[in-house]
Amino acid sequence: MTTTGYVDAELIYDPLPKQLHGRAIGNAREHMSLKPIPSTNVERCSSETKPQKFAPNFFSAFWANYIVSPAREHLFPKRRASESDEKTEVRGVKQLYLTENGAPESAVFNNSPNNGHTTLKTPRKLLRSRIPNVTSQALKMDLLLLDEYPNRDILRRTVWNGCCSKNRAQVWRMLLDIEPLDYEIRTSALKARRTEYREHMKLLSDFTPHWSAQNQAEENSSGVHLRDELLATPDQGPVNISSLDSNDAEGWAKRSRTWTKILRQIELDLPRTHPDTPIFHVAEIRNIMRRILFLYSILNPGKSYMQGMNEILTPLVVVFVNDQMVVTREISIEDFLMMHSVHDCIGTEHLEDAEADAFWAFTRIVSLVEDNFISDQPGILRRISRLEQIVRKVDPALAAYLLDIGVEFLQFAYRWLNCLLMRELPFQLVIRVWDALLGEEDGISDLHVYLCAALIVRFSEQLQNMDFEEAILLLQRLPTEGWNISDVDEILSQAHMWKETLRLESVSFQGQRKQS
Amino acid sequence: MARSDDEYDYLFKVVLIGDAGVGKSNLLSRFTRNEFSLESKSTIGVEFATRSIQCEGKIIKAQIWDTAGQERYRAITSAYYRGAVGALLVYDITKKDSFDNVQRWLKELKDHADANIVIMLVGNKSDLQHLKAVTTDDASAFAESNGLSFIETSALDNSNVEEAFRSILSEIYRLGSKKALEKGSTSNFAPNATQTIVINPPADEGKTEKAKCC
Repeated sequence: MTTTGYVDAELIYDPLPKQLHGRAIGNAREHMSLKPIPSTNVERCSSETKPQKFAPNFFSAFWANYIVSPAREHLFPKRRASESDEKTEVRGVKQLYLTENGAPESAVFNNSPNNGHTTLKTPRKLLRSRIPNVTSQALKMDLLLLDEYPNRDILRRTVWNGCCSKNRAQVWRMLLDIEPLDYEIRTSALKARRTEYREHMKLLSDFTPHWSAQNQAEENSSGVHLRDELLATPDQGPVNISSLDSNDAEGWAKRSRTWTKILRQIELDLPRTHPDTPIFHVAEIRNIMRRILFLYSILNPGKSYMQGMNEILTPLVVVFVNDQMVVTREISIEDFLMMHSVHDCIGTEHLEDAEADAFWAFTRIVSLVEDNFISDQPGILRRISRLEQIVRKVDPALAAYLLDIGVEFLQFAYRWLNCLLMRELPFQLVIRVWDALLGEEDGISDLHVYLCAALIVRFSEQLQNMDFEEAILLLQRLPTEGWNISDVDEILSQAHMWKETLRLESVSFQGQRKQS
Repeated sequence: MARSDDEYDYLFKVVLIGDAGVGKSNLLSRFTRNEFSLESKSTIGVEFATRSIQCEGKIIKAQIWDTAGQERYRAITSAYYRGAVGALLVYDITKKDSFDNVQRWLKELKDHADANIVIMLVGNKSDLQHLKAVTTDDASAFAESNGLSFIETSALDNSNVEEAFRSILSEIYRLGSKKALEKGSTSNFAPNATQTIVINPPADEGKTEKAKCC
C-alpha cells in the first residue's frame, strides 16, 4: 500500500527531486500557536474609519496607514522563515498523508537523527503517483506544493475542485505568475515582486505633493473643472513611473487633473464596494484598495480605473490579507468578511506584502480580460454576444423565449461580465468560482462566459414563465443568496462541459470544411 | 409576481443619467420602492425598475432605466437611450462638477436619443442645503435656456421625488399626441411592441395640454 500505488501515466514526468526536507507548505496556519495580541498593547494606525467625503485633507489621507510606526513590528513576529515552523508543517502534512493512506510513518519518511530533517524514503515518483488517490483536496494540494517544481497542469486541475484557504493565496500567486513554481526561487522571486511594489508606492508618495497641491490651487482659484481627460486620452502604453520628472511643471499640471479625477472616482466607489460586508468598512482594507486601484490606473492609462474594477479587486484583497493574518487558527472566508478590524491580527509589513500580492494579482487578472476595460469595452460586447450564442446552442428554447419577450443579453449580462459575477453570487462562492477559473488556462477570459451561460440556464424554467419585466428583474438580482458550494460546482461543471463540447464541435466543423 | 402592475394604458421608457454618485439609483429606488440607502452599490451597466401612476384617469407605467455614471461607460450606455421618451438628467447640488457636466450629458442625449425626448433637469441632494454649490437660480436659468424643466429633489428625505417623476411622465403623456409615440416606435430595449406595449396616441386629448395632470 505504501510502496506500490496506482500510477497515473500522465503523472510520470521530469527528473525527480531528491528530498522533501524543510519545505514550507503554503501557509499551514493551523500548526502555529501565536496568540492574538490584545488591542490595548497596539498603537492604532491613523486612518479614517468612516467613508469619507472628498475633503481638503484628502491627499494626505491617501497615504494614511501605508507608512506607520515601525514600533509595532516587534508585535508581529515573522511567520514563515523559521525552520522549526517548516518542520512542524512537514510533519503535519505527513500525518495527514499517512492517515489518508493508512500506512506507518516509518514506511514513507526518514527522520534523520543527525540534522532533524525529514526526508522521503519512498521514491518521489511513487509519492507523486499517489496524488490522484488522495481523497482530501487539501492534502493533495499540500503534496503538490511540496514539490520542487509542481506541474502547472496538475496544480490547475487540483485547484479546479476548490482550494482550501490555507493554500489559496500561494496557489493563486503561482497561477497568476506572481510566485514561481520552482521551489528554489519562490521566496526570493516573491520578495522581489513585493519590493518592486513598495518602490512604486514610494515613488508615488514622493510625487504626491507635485500633483495634489497643484490641483487644489487650480480648483480653489479659477474654477477649472476636471473633466474627461480620461475620455480624451487615447489608449497608451504603460507608464514608467520612475521616469517622471519632478521638475516638469506642465506635465504635472496635466497629470494632476487626470490623477485627481481617477482618485475621486475611486473614492466615490470605495464606500459602495460591498457596503453590507463589515471587512470592507475597515480602514486598512479601504486604504489598500485605494492605493492598488490608483497605482494600477496611473501605470496603465489606457485602461485606467473603471467602475467594477473595485469589485474584481475584492476577492484578491480578501484572500491575500487573510493569508497574512497572525492567528491561532485558520479564519474562514465567511469569518474574515465579518471582521470589523484586522488591526490586531496583522503587522504593517505583512499587510504591505498582502497589498503587493493583491496588486500584482489584480494587474494580471485585468490583463487577462483587458479588452473589457479599454475604451468602448469591445471585450464585454464580444463576450456578451458569445454568451448569447452559447445559450442559443445549449438552451434554444430559453434563447428564443428571451428574444420573444424582448430581453436582450446586454441588459443584464453587462454587469456579469464586467464584474466577473462578483455581484451575482455570494462572496465566498465567488472565491470558489475563482479557484476554478484560475484552474483553467483561459478560465477568466473564456470559461467565465460559459459560466454565465450555465447561470442563466439554471433559471431557464423560471424565466420561461415570466414576462419582460419579471425576467429582467430576476436577471438583475438573481436569487443566489441561499446557494452553497454544490450549486456552484454544478454550474462550474456544466460550464466546463459546454466549453469542451462546443470546442470539439467547432474543431470537427472546421475539419469537415477542410475536407470538403 | 406583481400582477396588479400589468394593467396600464401607456408604457413610457425613461432613463436616468448624470455623473457618478449624484444619486440616480436612490432616486429610482425611492420612486419605485420607497427605499433609500446611503451606501448603495454603484450601478454597473444598467438597472431597471417600474412603477405605474395614475394621470388624468389613465394608468401610466414608467419603465425606468438607471445607468452607470462614470464617463468611461458612456460609449456603452448610449445604446440604452434608444426608445427612451424621457430622461431625468441628474446632478448633485453640492458638486459643481456634476452640474458643469450637464452640458455633456445633453450632448450625449442629442447624439444618441430620440430628438423628441423629454428632458428634466434634477438637482438632487437638496437636503444638503449647507453644502449647496449650485444655486437654484443658476440651475433654473440653465434649464430655461435649454428648454428643460427643472426641479430640486432629495432622495434621502423624499422631497420632490414623486413630483419629479410624475411631472416628467405627465409631460410625456401630454406631448404624446403630437410627438414620437406612434405605435411601433419601440426600441431594442422596450418589450416587444405587439405584445406588451400599448402606446396609443391619445386621440381626443390632444388639445387638453393645460389639464392638470396627476
